[in-house]
Amino acid sequence: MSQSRNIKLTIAGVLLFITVIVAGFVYRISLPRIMTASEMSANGLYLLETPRNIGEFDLIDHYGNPFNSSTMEGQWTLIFFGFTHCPDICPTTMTFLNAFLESLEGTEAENPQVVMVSVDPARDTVQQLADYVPYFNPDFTGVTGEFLDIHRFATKLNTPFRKVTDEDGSYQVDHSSNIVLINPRGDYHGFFRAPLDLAKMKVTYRSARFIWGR
Amino acid sequence: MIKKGMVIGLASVISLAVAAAQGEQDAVLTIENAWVRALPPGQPNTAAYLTLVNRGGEAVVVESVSSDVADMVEIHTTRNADGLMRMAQLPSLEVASGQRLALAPGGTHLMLLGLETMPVAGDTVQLCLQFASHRDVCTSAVVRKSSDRSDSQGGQNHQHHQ
Repeated sequence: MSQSRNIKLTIAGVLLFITVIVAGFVYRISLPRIMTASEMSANGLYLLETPRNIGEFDLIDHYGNPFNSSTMEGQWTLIFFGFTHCPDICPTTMTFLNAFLESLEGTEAENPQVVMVSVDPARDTVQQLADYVPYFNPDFTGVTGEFLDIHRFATKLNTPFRKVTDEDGSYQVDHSSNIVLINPRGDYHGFFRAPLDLAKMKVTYRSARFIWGR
Repeated sequence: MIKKGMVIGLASVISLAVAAAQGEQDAVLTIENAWVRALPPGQPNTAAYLTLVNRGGEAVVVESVSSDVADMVEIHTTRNADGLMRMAQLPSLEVASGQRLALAPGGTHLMLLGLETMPVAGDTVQLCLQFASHRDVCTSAVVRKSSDRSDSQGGQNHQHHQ
């Protein structure tokens, strides 16, 4: 009697053990994948070892409101330096950022802010940006300002640009198509290197948020 | 997402059907997947993309491009110079024998300059390519807000999938 009882107990014990292992495994693979810093950089997101304070800056958004360091506090911000007279890479990037936002789920989807800072403030007035930026997503923010202020801001974010005048007096602006990542403290956190890829950007962004929130 | 994909898929099928209906039965040169980017109203310029297939035995050279909606069409390419993106105009475009040349976002594209009004998504736009030693090839390009691949930012080596 006691021997068959022991066998039953053993079987129950083994089954329980297997169940725990399997459940643990299923739980583990269902967790979003979190990358290390070196894995993130291999997948296009370069993080600063220590997020950097940007200091004061004074720009204006497409609603005519001030855009400064406090505007970037309290949420993650993605910054693209572009301009409206740029019919290839800029709309491609803006459309990509809209697809990126739509692809986010769960906690990652909570309030990331997308900002296009104009590198051509002479043509990109507040009104021009108001006509342009919300076309890609009504929640996107367009930012302009004085040329030197924008240049200083971009330089602090390691995203230089260059105004090039052609022989006929017209000009174009050479610019980066990287995306700058600002953390909820308003500090420069890192950047996504172009060309951007949706799947890679999703997993690296999630990883950066997860590690920062720990 | 699936729904969106279906709509985009359907749009591509329609654009192909429209292109076929336009009588593009040129045995040597065909244009596929032509589309024009819809931008906010008031923008003076936009970009167009297409794949040019040369089934002939000799290379062809696109010397100029025209469109019914733009004052001028130029061939441009986006180049990466020291990490900065710069647009450069190309004088012409050579397509080797047997080559499929894809003009795609982030690389070589057509610039539609001086639009009277910005076309809206769903419109069609006439694009005609003029060659050095071949008759013109025209196509009806569908107007869309984005390529059917908005999951990448494109690049020089981006190949448009078939």
